[in-house]
Parts: sequence; structure tokens; C-alpha cells
Amino acid sequence: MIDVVNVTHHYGVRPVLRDVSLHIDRGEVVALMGPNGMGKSTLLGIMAGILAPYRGHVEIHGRRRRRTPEEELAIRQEVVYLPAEAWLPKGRTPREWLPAVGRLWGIDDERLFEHTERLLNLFDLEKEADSPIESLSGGQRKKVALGAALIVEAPVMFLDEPFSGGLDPSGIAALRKVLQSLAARDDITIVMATPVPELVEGLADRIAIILDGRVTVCDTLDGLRRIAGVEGPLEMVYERLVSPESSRKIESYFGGKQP
Amino acid sequence: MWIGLLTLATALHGGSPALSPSAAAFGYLLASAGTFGAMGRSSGILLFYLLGALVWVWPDPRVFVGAVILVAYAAVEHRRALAKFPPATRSIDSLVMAAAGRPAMGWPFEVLSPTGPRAPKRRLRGLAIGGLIGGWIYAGANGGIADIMFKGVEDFELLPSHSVPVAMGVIGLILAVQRLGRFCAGYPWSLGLLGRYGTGRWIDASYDVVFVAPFVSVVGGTALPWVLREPLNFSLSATIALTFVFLFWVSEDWGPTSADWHLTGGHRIAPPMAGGVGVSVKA
Repeated sequence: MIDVVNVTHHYGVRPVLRDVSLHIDRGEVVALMGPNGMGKSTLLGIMAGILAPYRGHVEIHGRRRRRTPEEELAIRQEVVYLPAEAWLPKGRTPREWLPAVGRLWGIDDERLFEHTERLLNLFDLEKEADSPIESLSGGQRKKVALGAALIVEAPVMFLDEPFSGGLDPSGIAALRKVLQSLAARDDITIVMATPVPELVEGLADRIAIILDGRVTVCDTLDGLRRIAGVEGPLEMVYERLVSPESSRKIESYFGGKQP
Repeated sequence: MWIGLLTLATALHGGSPALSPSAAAFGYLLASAGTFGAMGRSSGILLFYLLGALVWVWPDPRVFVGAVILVAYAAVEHRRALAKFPPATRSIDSLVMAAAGRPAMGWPFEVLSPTGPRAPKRRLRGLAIGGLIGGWIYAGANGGIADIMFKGVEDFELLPSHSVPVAMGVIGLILAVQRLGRFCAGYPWSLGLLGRYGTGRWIDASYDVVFVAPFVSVVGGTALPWVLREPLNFSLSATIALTFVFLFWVSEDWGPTSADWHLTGGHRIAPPMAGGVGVSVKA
């Protein structure tokens, strides 16, 4: 269970999040969506513990982030965070580094080595498994970073744009299936920020839309359809809720003619 | 250097033949103390303290008895240290990466891991180190080797006293900067100056607590020598010694500990500025 309680955050004088509250149940998959610069990554960073909010707090499984060292360490044992731009040690190979990350979470060595091989196989990284990370392509590095987020077997996952960063179609499909499989379990909670509605549909239990630093709506896809008054895929619902003017803007761009 | 000083002291004092072996033992004990310290054993600090006592009584022949006892203690301690070899310290690779501000296990995995920062158990480490340095200075200035240690200074107490607050203030500043570096590298404030101006929240206690000890270190390093010298009339060597104790106590032992602050402070955890590779190819 994750509780975001009245969180406000500033970058300089600019407020990024304004009194955001959000409740996420254990086992839920929630997607944070919204236009660029509206606070999705900031909210995810605050939940993940990388940022301290200006006001408000976050509780995970009844423990408050950054209140006491003991609570914080207990939260960290249950949480993993993958930012959009993770930094990887360039001299290490994926086969070395993935178990090393797992060890930080105290996972048993035997399980780590076996899980590493499964991850390398899942993301088609067997050939590059013993090459330094710096020699891998951007998409391959993203796969390695995703592997690191998965290998720690944390029950709470915060993923910032997990499908971006140059992932190839097979990588996207593999990750989507892994997340769907994890979502089917009732002990794994996933909160992810993504700008791509197609990837969220069928995966997220609820979608939270963030506009101007506020969670304007957080509901199931059916709930969002009702609110928007639109039947159809999430892309249409999202467009109606977030940028109802976009059709007119596109038409205007093409000189009054629909493309 | 110390062996040379002590042997010279023996010659100058025309001391007993026991002093030369004591000087040799002193070198061995000094190296042993350094070894124990590097292995993270508290016996290193204890041995450094006891060596200060030898300096204090030098060139009294009793120093030989003390040296024999300490050599025996060091031999036992060497056996204990070897039994726990290799010591549970971080790998050189990891230390080099940390020194360069680059988490060895990537970012943010290492800084957010449950095995992340841990509070050191040695709560009074600063007091011990400060006492050690202060004790050595006091023993050196007032003990048997003062005439060698401060050769050229006619009287240690005649050193210009007004320069001591400045010198100790500089040492306080150095300790403050190293403490701030240890706490704040990779952990900048969440609410910067512009944010404080914009929100009117000039003091962010959850972050600003990190500045308390460095501030006291600089101010105390300058003010304490003056207070001890002028109103309280302490000797110069005692003033310097006590100020060292104070400075190390403040900069090492005052809370919060770096581990506690890294876990609970009102900071943001910043990605490394360089080194490693980002997910995107351009990085």
C-alpha cells in the first residue's frame, strides 16, 4: 500500500507538484500519465525516495519515507526505482553487474545467478553478457537497467518511462509481458510513468493523469471513459481528458484540412 | 622520523642504554598502530595513545618497561588481527568509485539499496582522534622530547598567542569543509536558494541541520583558543590540545551521523556528474 499525502514540491520558485494525494493498494499497477513537465517523474522520484518533498510525505506499507533510518531501510528493502536515465558502471559486464545489484538487496547468490541467466535470455543479451556495459547500445543498456530493477525482486517497483530509451520492439514486448505477469500477482505493486497510452492499456489497473502538478483523475480505464464521455482506446480517452484542443491544433497546422 | 628523534634525544641526554632499544620498539609500535588503524581495529587508536605516554615519560628509563609491555600487546593484537584477515572493509575499487562520486553499483541502485549507508558504531571516534592529536601535542610540548620537537623555539609558551585562534580557525574550517563534502557530495538540497526565496521558507531544518557542526567547528576553532588563553589562562600547549579535542569531537561525533542524514535528510539524491554510462548512448 502506498500513500502519497498532500505532497507539494518546488523546483526553484516553480511549483511542480501541488498538494498531491494518492492511494495505491498493494498489488495494483498504476500508470502516471500527462504532458511533459507536469510532474510525473517528480512524483515518482518522491515516492521512490530520491527527492524529499517540500511539504507532505509518502508512506509505503505503513512506514513513512525518511522519518527514521530504520523505517527508511525497511522501505528500501521492499522498493526498487528505475529512473528514465539510470547510470551503469561502464567497466562491468551485464553478467557481473546484475548479480551485484541483487546482492545489495540481500538476494541469495544461487538464485541471483539463475535469475541473471533468465534475464539475459529474456532480453536477448546472451551474446553481450560478458562485454563491458560501455560497449552496449543505448537500447541494450536500457535492457540491462531493466534487468537490474527486476533482479532485486522488490514487491514495489517505481519505473520511470520503462518502455523508452531505445528499446527494440521485442524488448518492449518482453517487458510488457513481464510486467503483465507481475501485475497478475497480488503482492507486486507497480507505479510507472509513461507517455505512451498504447503500452498502458491492458497493463495498468488505474491511470493517474497529472496536469499542472495536480492529479486531476485516477481511475480505471472504464472510469476514465465515463469521465471523458468517450468510448474507445485509452489514446482517445487521454486525448479528450488532457488535450481536447489537439485535434483542432493538428487541423490548424495543416491549414484547415484534416491530414 | 620518530625513531630518529628519539635516538637523538637519547644521545643528547646521555641516557641509559635501554633507550635505544626503546626507540626501535617505538618505530615498530608506530607501524603496528598504523596497521591496526588501517584494518579498522580500535587497538590502533589505543596504541597511538599509549605511544603518547611513552613520549611523555621519555627519556626516563621506565620507558623501556612501557615499550616491552606495548610490544607484547602489539604481538598479541597482530595475532588477533591476522585471525580476522582480510578485514571487512570495502574493496579498493568501491572506495575509488566512491571517492570520485560514482556509485560503484550504478545509480540509483546503490544509493537506494537497503544495504546503503550505515551508521558507524564508533560513536566517540572524533573525541578519540582529537584526544590523540591533542595528547601528542601536549606530551610533545611538555614531555622529554620537547627540546627536539620544538628545536629553535626557545620556549613553546612564547609562541605568539594571537596567531593560535587564526590557525585553529583554519583547521576548524578544513574539518568543516571535509565534513560538508562527506555529507553533501551527491546529496544537494531539495529546496535551493531560489526555492527558499520563492516559498519564503528560508530555513529548511531537515536539510540545514547539516550546517550546524561545520559552523560550530569554524566559530569554535577560532573562539575557544581565545577563551582558554585569555580569561582562563591555560598554557598554549593545553589550549591547542583542547581545541583539537573540541574540533574533532564536533566534526566527527556531532549528529546527525552521515548515514542517518543520508537516509532521512531533506535532500535530493543526485545522479553522478561524470563516470559510468547513462542508459542513452549519448551519455
